[in-house]
Amino acid sequence: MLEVDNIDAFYGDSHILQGLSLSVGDGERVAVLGRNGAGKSTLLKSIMNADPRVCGRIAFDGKDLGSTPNFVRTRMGLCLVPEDRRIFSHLTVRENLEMARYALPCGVAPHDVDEVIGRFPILVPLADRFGDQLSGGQQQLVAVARALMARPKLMLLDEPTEGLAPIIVEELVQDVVSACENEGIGLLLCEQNIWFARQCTQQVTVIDSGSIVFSGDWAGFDAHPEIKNKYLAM
Amino acid sequence: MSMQLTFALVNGLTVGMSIFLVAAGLTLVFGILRILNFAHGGFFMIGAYLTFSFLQVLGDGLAQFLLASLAAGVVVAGIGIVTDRIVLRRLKDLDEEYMLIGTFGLLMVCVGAVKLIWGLDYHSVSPPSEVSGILRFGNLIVSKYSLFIVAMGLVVFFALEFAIHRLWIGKIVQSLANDGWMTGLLGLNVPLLFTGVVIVAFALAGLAGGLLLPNQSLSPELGHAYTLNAFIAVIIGGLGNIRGALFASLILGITESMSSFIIPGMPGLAIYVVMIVLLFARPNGLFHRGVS
Ligand SMILES: Nc1ncnc2c1ncn2[C@@H]1O[C@H](COP(=O)(O)OP(=O)(O)OP(=O)(O)O)[C@@H](O)[C@H]1O
Ligand SMILES: [Mg+2]
Repeated sequence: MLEVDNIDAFYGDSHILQGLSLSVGDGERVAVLGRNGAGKSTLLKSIMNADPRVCGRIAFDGKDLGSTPNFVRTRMGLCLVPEDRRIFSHLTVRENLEMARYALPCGVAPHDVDEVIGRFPILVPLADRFGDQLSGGQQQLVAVARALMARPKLMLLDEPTEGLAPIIVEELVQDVVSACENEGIGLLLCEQNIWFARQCTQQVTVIDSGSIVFSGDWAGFDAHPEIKNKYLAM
Repeated sequence: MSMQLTFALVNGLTVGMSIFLVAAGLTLVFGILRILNFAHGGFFMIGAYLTFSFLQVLGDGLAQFLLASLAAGVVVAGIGIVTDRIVLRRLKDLDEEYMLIGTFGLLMVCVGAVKLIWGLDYHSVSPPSEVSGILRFGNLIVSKYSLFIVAMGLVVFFALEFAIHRLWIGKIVQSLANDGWMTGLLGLNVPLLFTGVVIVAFALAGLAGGLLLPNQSLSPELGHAYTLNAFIAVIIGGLGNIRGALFASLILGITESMSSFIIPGMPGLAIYVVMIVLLFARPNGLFHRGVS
């Protein structure tokens, strides 16, 4: 479904991603691990054409994305939840979710907003609060709920567990996995929380300094403990 | 004495509303596209000239006058689409210096176009007969056209307030102003929305040119005269803030009018004093926070 073929990504003159290739099949769930500054967010933004300058080929659903603008990529079924959440402060939680209806791929019916809010019990009493009246963790959940409203084919989640309490992280596993399984959503998940990544995905890729240093399934990842020690230990 | 003061106040209100009519489009473009459009006054002037030409065909009457002003708004909005394509879109992501130089050049183009099309002669237009003449409230004399301008200013203000705060499109526009990046990532066609904002702002400039045409001399300098005060209002009001622009315009209008009554020897000085004091007191403007 998503093919990233030998891309280089730049911020100004800094060469961030270097010859990176990766693919995500239909409904497949892939984790991307890497320490701070490894290039995880840059990868997701490159896929969306949202900021970095990218060379190389990115294709989605068999179509070459070239210089397709980000809003068109979103409408094709790619949806990014950025690491800084970007909840609109002038909109209520419900309105933030409604805003995602512009992201719906053509011909896909929208979800009921309250049903999606209902999947996150913490958000239920907050539905009419404005975005700037939420805690960081609450905003994080709104960002994930908003992405589910977009009904993407492939959801790009950037460190969704950051700042969440352990019990909420456990609930988030259920929310993400069941949404993906029930609706056939693929997942590309950037994480530092290995436990969460493992619960949510089948495949794992480790990047360091903008290049891939491991790619395989979780059993393969466990079979090479040196990967974890070398590239993920703090 | 108190009658003269009241008169100055009413006059100030009219001047203030005139400034607001120009400032509204200016602050909108800044709030959303982050472009300080020096050429705004130029498009305002084109609106005035267009209205002048339309009125020569349509003749006298309030309905004709409103129609001519609206038509000028539509034509200037059309010019806005072209300007957006050719100029604004290219300036959007550049540094401020380029925006200032670019839009200043655009102002030159406006002035040149006006000189080519309408010539250098001065023209003047009287208000339509329904709103010319005066009203008496006891001893107080108010021109009907002043009241008309105040009313038009309020119509524009409430229309914008309603659109931004009550309509869903207003919420989208605020999203664009607050976080254009995320707005695009939610599937909204951001370049198209920018064009829409430019269309509205230019339509407002053209409409204002028409509404404010009577009682002033129509010359290729008209653009400069209003631009400066409108800029001051936009800066004092908080860049991008419609309510702020209204309050600041009224403060400026009343200051100007009162000062020409209290210190007639120094026209224009009080406005700068007020601007400096307000900017020291509220460097971010009377109200700030994106478009509101
Ligand atoms: N806007 C930017 N301009 C210049 N350099 C940037 C920019 N954003 C990120 N970088 C650089 O790109 C590199 C990769 O950053 P990126 O945000 O992709 O890392 P990350 O893996 O997401 O890290 P984290 O886990 O901390 O979120 C870093 O060296 C960072 O300094
Ligand atoms: Mg990151």
